[in-house]
Amino acid sequence: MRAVLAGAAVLCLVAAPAAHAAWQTSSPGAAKAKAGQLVALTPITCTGTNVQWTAVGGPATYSVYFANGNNYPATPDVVTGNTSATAPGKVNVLIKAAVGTWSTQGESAGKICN
Amino acid sequence: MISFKELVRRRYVRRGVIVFAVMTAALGSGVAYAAWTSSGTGTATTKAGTAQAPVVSGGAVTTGLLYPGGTGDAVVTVSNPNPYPVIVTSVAPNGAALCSVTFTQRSPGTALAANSAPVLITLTGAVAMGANAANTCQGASIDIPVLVTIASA
Repeated sequence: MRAVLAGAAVLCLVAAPAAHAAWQTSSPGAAKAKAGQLVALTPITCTGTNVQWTAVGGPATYSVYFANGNNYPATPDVVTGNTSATAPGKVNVLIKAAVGTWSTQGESAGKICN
Repeated sequence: MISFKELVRRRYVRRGVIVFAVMTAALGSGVAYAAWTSSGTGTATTKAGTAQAPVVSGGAVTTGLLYPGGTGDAVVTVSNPNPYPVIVTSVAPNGAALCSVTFTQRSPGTALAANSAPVLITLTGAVAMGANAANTCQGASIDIPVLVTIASA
């Protein structure tokens, strides 16, 4: 008898409708995002033949040009995602950084490296 | 010793209890007992409150900066003007943004107290910048139209 009554009580709880329904409302507004900014990659320094420069920010690609004089080649000597490259000797160094359509560039202050 | 008549009576009583219990379960409700009853007609009046829309604004972005072709963070500030606690159930795109920035819907699930002050919600990786974003977009603070939905907790 007790089992029957207990079962009935359980069925009551199961059959009972949900008593709560969430109230919902919406509103338009503006979220904020911020664009990064490419920083200067200078100064460009060299230790031995290892040229180094400052990261400009973001997933940048660096095109590195070496020249004995002032005339840099039309195509880069090195293309890298790192902030260092190996120079072929004492040279002028030009580096162009690009992140998508954004770009910046820097040049060494005269010939560097050995 | 119990007579045959008594046995039959007890069986009917048992069946009656079982039937009563099952009917109670089927109705899904409890049964109240009152010795004296009376009834009357009339009108009871009550009024439900109205759900107030959340107050939405932007916030300072300190992480997840955007670069062309990459993703970043968006920040939205939401306050709850209602006298009951709510949950921020959705932040959805609600129009175009500058600098080729797009927004992907998020369900932050942030809890706001009743009549809360503005709460800053950071939506990690919710925005993306197109690879063709103009150079003039560098360092820009970008407003992104969104629709914020709250629901009672």
